[in-house]
This record gives sequence, C-alpha cells and structure tokens, in this order.
Amino acid sequence: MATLSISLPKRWQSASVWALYTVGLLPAAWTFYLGATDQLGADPVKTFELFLGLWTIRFLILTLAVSPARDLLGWNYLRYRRALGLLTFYYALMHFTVYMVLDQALDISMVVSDVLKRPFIMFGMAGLAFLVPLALTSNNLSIRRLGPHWVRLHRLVYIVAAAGAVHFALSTKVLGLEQSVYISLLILLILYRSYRPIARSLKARNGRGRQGQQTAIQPASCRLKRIVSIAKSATQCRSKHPAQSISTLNPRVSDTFAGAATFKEVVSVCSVVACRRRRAQ
Amino acid sequence: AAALSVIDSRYTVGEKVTPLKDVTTYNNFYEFGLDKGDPARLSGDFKPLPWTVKVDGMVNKPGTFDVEALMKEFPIESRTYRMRCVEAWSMVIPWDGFPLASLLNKVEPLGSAKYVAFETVVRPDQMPGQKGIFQSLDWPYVEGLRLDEARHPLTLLAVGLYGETLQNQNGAPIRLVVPWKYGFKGIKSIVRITLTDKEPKNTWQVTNPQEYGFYANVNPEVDHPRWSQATERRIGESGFFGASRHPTLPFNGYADEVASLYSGMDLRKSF
Repeated sequence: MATLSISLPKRWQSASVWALYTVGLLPAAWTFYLGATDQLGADPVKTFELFLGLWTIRFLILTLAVSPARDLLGWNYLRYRRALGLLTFYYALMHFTVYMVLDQALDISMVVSDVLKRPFIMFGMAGLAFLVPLALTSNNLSIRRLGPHWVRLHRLVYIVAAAGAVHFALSTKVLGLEQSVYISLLILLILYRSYRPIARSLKARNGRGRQGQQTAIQPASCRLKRIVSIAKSATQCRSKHPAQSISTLNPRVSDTFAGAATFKEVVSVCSVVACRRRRAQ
Repeated sequence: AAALSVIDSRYTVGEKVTPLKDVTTYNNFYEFGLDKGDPARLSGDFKPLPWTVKVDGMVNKPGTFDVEALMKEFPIESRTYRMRCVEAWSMVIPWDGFPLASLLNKVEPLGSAKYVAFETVVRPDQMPGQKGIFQSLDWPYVEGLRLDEARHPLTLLAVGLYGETLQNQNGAPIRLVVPWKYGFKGIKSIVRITLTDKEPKNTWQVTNPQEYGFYANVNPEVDHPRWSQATERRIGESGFFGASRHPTLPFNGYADEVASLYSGMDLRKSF
C-alpha cells in the first residue's frame, strides 16, 4: 500500500510544495479575474464570496484528510499538509476580505453588529480567528520552539473544522446535496480524529502494529536518551542512503523527517512525535 | 418567449430596470435546483403551454381557466416593480400581467372567504429539483395571502416580463407578484388557487417557522435571524467594485399603498 505514495527525489520535493501553493491559489486568481471583467453573472460579489468560502472548506477537508489517508491507505502526503493548511487560511482570509470590502463596502459598524448578533457570522469569524495562530506557527522554527505544545496548539484545527461546518450549514435557506456531502466529510474527519487514540491504544495493547518496525518507537520511549538514539540512527541513515532507508527504520517517523535537515531538527521532531504518541496512548 | 401586447400602468417605479439577462439567469426556483443558475440551465424540458389554473374553494363560480384565454380576456399591463428577495438582494423588473383581483372578481368569492391559497405544479419529469433522493422542499410549493392583500390593486398575476411571455425559469406561464413582500411570496407556475377561511400554509413557513412567517412583508426593522434586512444588494447595477447596497424600504417602498392593510398589527410578531 505504501507504494501508492509518490516519492519524489529530494530536490523536487520542495518544488512540488511550491507548485501546490501556485495551483491552490489559481481558482481564486481566475475567479477574481472573471469578476473584475464582469464575467461572473448577475451577482458577482456574492458569487466570488461563496466561491472563496467553498474552497476554504475544500482545503480544510484536504488538510484534515492527510493523516487518515496515511493511517488507512498508506498514502503519505504529510509534506503537503502545511501548504494545504495555509491555503485553507489564505482562502478564509480572502473570503472574509471580500465580505468586508466588496459585500459590506467597508461598513465596519455593520460588520461588527453582524458578528456580534448573528451566530451564522460568529461561527465563521471564530473559525478564521482560530486559524490565525495555526498559520503563524506553520513553520519549522515554531515546531522546534514549541515542541509538544505545537501539537496541542494545532489540534485547534478540529475546532476550526466544527466552526466551519456550522457556518457553511447556516449559509443557505435549505441544506443542498453538495453542501451535505462537504459537511458529512468534515464530521467524519472530526470523528476519525477522536477515534484515532482509541485505535492506537488497542493496537499497542495487542503488541503489534500494522508493520513490525513500528515498534521502533513505543510510547514509553519518550525519554530523551531513546529519542536521541533514534534521531542519531535516522540521521546516519539519511546521510548514507536516500530517503527510503530511513523508512525502513520507521515509516511513520521518517515522514516527519522529510523536511528536517540537521541532527538537531531530527531530535526536535522526534520529541514531538514521541510525545504525541505517548499522549495518544 | 412570445411578444405580448401591453398597456402602460400607473403602477411603475422610476428606477433603472435590471437587465433582462440578469432577470432571466439569477433565479430562485427550487423545483429546478438550488443554484441561482439552475432554473435557467435546467428548465428547458418544461412545457408551460397549454396550461390551466383551477380556482375553487369558497367561491360562487369555481372553474378551470385556460391561461391563454385569460390573457385575451384581461388587458395585460406593463408594471415596473421593485422586487426584494429575503436573501437581501433586489431587482427592478418590468412585469406584464393583470391584477389578481380581476380573476377573483370573475369567480365571486363568498363572504366567508378570508384567505387565498396558491399551489405550484408538480412535474418531476420536467423539473429536476423535484426528482431523485434529495428533495429540497415538500412539493407542491404553496403560498397564501389574506383576501384583502390578494384584492389589492398592486397584486399582480404576471404572464410576462420585458414585453414577452414568461420564460420557464421566471415561473411560466403564470405567477404571482406581490411587490411589498419578499420574493418567495411570488409563487411560480400556478396550477391552483383556493379561497378559504383558514390561514393557508406557505412552504417557507412550514420549512422553518422561526425564520419565515405568513406575511413576509419587506421590513428593514425585522432581521432574518441569520442576516440583516436593513440593506440590499441591487443586482446588475455596479458589478464587482463599487457599492451597490441600497437601504431597504418599509414595505419595499410601497408603504403609502399598503401600510393601512396592517394597521394595529405588531409586524415584529406577524413577520
């Protein structure tokens, strides 16, 4: 199953992430062009506003789907998760900007009273507000600095997902079919995340993971010594062999190493992963 | 759409009319789909003619009337009305039609009749929104007016717009237009009109009674629970940039004509 993951040569990996940002922003750019040249129908502002909102939901779903896709299907797209998450934030921000500037014509008092009075708008604003700290800490430096706190902080994405789902559901007079599909996907992804720790602890109790090597990191191995030894061997593997050698050490951990270049970085990522696993148990 | 011969009416507002293209491509007609573009895109199979409207209930002379015959019997007036949707957008539309009162006079309502109920056609084979597992509303779409509202000279049975018969997406061949109420009161493709002494159900009130009432008079003071009704976006007016927000007027600007119908009523409760 793991072969379904497309593994690109190292030097193409960061190019592929940048390509994702470019492709991800194309729908917004193209629709903005259509709107600015009066090709967006009778109500261009509303159409653009709803379009950006819908793509926010789409990128949110893709971001949340990265982990389940790896757990259940063995597809490893972890290196794209940051880009997907940031695209979610950019679309949410553009959605809000269009509402504020083009729809409400910068009538701040109207926007404030809308936010305070209407749960529909309130849920949307809450979702955007919670996305801000996540976007600000979506960089390697923050991961290193925050350590295990980073993992905890980024669980806010599930609050964002819930707020987004409610906001989306309240946006129309009746719930349409397409809308129901998106909302169901969000609910499933939230439920999956709540179920994952249970599944993992069951697995740990049974004493065998999906693949034998997974025992390389056991939850109890959160102690620094153990982390350092894993990190050392991982770094050695990395310097001697291409990426797939690391994956023989532990496929789950090696995903996380994709962006980590130095021994120091590997240690910090390791501590995050190990602590996450301990908490999961 | 076929050309109509129409006469001018004094019931015409002097505002810039919404382009025909926008009036015929931006529609709420859930029988054809939820998207604003669905009615124009998916109503090609709909057969609006021949068509009859059954008028029954508390009347002296019930009957089933051929729409083309009614269009010959009553003079078709051109009336430009403001139209305000409950979703906070608006248009200015040159309708062609005859007063509902003309038809009601013909059937002679009984003294006991207090309300008028309306019903839209159900044709799943011609209306994709009525077909399949997912159905947005309970069909048929129903609406209602108080008898004095129904007899008000502004209340129009429209058979055309811009001097041509109605296109399918606008409610061909015959629809209701009540300009001081939210657009959803303007029931489309009417097959039945029933005089009754009980307040009739209307589809949106049944679907969500907290958000939609029987009266649905345009009122900037009473917000929809999820959005403000204080202002409206005028469709087709200024495009992508530049404000196209207008203040919403009480009774959609028809207060002088209709406010007296509701004297003594609490319009926050009877919304």
